[in-house]
Amino acid sequence: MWLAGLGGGLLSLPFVWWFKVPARSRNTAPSTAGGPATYVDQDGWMLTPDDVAALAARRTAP
Amino acid sequence: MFLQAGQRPTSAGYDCIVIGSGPAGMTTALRLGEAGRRVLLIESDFGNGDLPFSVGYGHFAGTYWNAHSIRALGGTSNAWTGWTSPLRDVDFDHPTIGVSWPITLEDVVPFYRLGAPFLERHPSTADDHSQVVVPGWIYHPFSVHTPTRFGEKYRGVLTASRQIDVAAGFSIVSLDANAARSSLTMLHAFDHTTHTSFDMPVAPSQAVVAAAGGMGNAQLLLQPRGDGATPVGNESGLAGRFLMEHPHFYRAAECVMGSDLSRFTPPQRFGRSVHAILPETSVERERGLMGCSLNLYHQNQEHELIRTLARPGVPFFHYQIDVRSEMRPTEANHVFMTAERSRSGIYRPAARCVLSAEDLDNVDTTLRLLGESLVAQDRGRVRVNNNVLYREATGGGHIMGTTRMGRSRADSVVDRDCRVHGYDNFFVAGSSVFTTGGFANPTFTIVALAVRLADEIARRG
Repeated sequence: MWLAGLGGGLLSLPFVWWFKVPARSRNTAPSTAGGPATYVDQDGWMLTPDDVAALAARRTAP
Repeated sequence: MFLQAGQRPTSAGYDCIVIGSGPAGMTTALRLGEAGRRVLLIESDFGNGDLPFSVGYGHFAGTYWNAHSIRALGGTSNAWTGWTSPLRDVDFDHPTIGVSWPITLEDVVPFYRLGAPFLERHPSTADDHSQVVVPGWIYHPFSVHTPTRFGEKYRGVLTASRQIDVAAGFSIVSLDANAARSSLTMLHAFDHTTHTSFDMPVAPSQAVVAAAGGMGNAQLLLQPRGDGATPVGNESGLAGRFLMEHPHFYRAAECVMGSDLSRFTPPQRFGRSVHAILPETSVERERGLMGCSLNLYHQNQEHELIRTLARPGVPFFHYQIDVRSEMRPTEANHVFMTAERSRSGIYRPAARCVLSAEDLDNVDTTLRLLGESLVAQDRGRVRVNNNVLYREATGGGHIMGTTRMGRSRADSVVDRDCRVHGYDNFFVAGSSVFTTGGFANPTFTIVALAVRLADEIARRG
């Protein structure tokens, strides 16, 4: 119980959260109640799922 | 006029004695001179040669503060970049910090307008030029006109003045008061030319204005007394407390935004300005945020997100974001005296100034709110530079809050008229009286409050 609580606390630290989520894009909870869910790419851009797809398509386009 | 070299000033015959010739002291003296009052303006004028202190703790360590404590005619205006902006109404009554000044923006606006010409700005610089950029966010420009060097700008006026005498090369190193601590009775001075001390008696009818800077004012009010009694002016015990800076974060973020900020540029009479946006006041209140100004600079238009987000009729622009933000005033951040004395005999101060997690998180949250606002409205995207935000904070050289304004000795050093609580003839000018710091470079507010103080002193006769 105590360890679980500690783990939850540690997850609020950015670097722990960073290592836990392996994907290129990471979901982050909105800062505002009812705000949009955004993704943060490895450069730190706050993006939408559509952005991620559009950027991927653009990068792989011939 | 300037007293001749070697001529020691006496206090007799003056309505007001102003200690320090920076924007606060110089403005006070000039305004009182305009009102026909006789003023003695005392300036140490030894550059940075006899640094007032050498110790710093916290985020602004080492000799950081020395660079912003300039002992010369014109004071810190000699190092001013020219950036400034008035405080906002929310800065005077700050629900997030839980503090309100004993005055409101409405009380100060007339003095911003009167003070603007001292800074070679148009009076309308005091007006609210805010415009909505996207819902929840306003354009709030910074004035970045050429900086006024008070020493250069007003030397001629002072030389020709029959009302103002300037004593350069002299420092006030400590103060004496009557037994009731209701009136200053003596200024203990030091002559930097002959390296000798002398006294200047003060009559109850004479006003004394401490305008020695955010550090210097606290230093003066914290000078230990030989008899072990409370230093004169620190009866509240709060002199030196609530030290604030403006945390600066260069390249803290960037954004691609479907708004051309050039469209929001204020009228030409405003002078040169920098694009800046901030959350609407209602958002600040709702979210419990402190002041945070995002300064935006056009970048190249090659960013791939511009091409990704672009749609017919809506051009997108790439901006770099620098941040100037507010710091919560706390008693723990303070100026205090060391055991070391300078040649003049004045005890040297040290400073502890630590940015809290809240100060940093405030900026982080503000930037992420912008990111979410732009996503929600499909108006752009934001990238936050975590390293800059949490590892590269610096300051603006703005030393505020160390003789804060309030309602009584229980919460402050000076009252709404910048008078030290309990005294009839002792006043403080400068950013040391700020109760909260806002996000804006303080020169405009320093000058506005100095005009207001001068008018108050002139009114008392």
